[in-house]
Amino acid sequence: MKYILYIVLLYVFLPFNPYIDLMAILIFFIAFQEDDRFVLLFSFFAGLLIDLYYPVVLGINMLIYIILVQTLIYIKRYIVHSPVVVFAIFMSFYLTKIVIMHLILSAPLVIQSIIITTIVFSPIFILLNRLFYKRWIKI
Amino acid sequence: MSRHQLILFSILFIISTTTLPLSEQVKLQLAAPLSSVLLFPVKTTTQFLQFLTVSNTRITELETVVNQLQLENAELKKRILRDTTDFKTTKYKLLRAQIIGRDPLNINGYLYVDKGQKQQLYVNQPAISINGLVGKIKYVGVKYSIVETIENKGFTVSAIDVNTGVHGIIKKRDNLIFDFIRINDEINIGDAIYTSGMSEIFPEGILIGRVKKIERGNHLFFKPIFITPGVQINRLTHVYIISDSTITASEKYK
Repeated sequence: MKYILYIVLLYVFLPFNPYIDLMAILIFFIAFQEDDRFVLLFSFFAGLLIDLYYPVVLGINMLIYIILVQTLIYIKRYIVHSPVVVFAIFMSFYLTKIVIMHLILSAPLVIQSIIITTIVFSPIFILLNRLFYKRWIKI
Repeated sequence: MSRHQLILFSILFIISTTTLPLSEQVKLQLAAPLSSVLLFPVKTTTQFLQFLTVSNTRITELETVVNQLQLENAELKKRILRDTTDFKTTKYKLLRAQIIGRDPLNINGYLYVDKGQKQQLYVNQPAISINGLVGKIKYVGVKYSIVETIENKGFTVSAIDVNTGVHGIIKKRDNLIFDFIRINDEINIGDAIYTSGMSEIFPEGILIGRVKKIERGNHLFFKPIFITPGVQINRLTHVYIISDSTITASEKYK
């Protein structure tokens, strides 16, 4: 049931992705909380959906997301799970993605989108916690 | 990393990397069937929302046309029934204004609309809706205006019963009353009351309401006639301001 809800959220967030990177927040949340294999498949699927929006760059989002998620899965065992650390890791995760996209595809850096995504990360992360785990903060 | 996860990661990595060096043409061909299946929910929702937006725009356009035709129709009716010597046509320009607020002390008496001096509105311009007369502009701000409605106490407008041709004044007291109708004048329940045009503010032919009740009052000369307004002010979301009118000789009668 929880996994179905993740897929539903994926589709709900998809149209807003050019303005706020809700997909990155969702993938980060799932990577932090869920089973490793599911996270890999989910990030691959999310990357595929984003790529299908812009088929000319098919493959790039899939690749970036599975590499970043795999890295996140690997390091999450070794970090202190506090709100500040989670936020800092998300920023690294998100900015790495942005920089790779910029370097490979010469994608423009939309500062407004980056700022909004940074601002909404914490509230959405807390809301997702509340939605899936019935508590505001689970770290 | 467990063995299973390593295999899974390798498979996904290979799939991702093999799609990267493909040419644009091949990527598009590959994406087309996948997109039609996987993005079906998103595309359907987007198309539905686009349809709603287009429909909304179309409704607004049609409402403007209906309002213009109603005014034109009333003028033509008058020409046919009474005034066959006037061969002029009046074309009205309507400006759609969204209702952005109401006076909390007089909720149906005053409406705040989102057009003002910037749209060259001025005091006393008539406001109408698809169902008839709404009122007139009482105050114009830079970006908003206040419309005094027919539901505001003291509002008056000259009117005519189109079935019988009896003239009178519509006044808002506790009810909407068609006043100064003599006891002998013929008025029937259900008659449509329109603006008569005997006003510097309101053009003729805008529906005000219909006759609801006729009373034999104590007055020696006049009988009070109660009107049901055509417009339900508390249900309005937008109004049309009659912003301009041009009078031209009709081509047909030149």
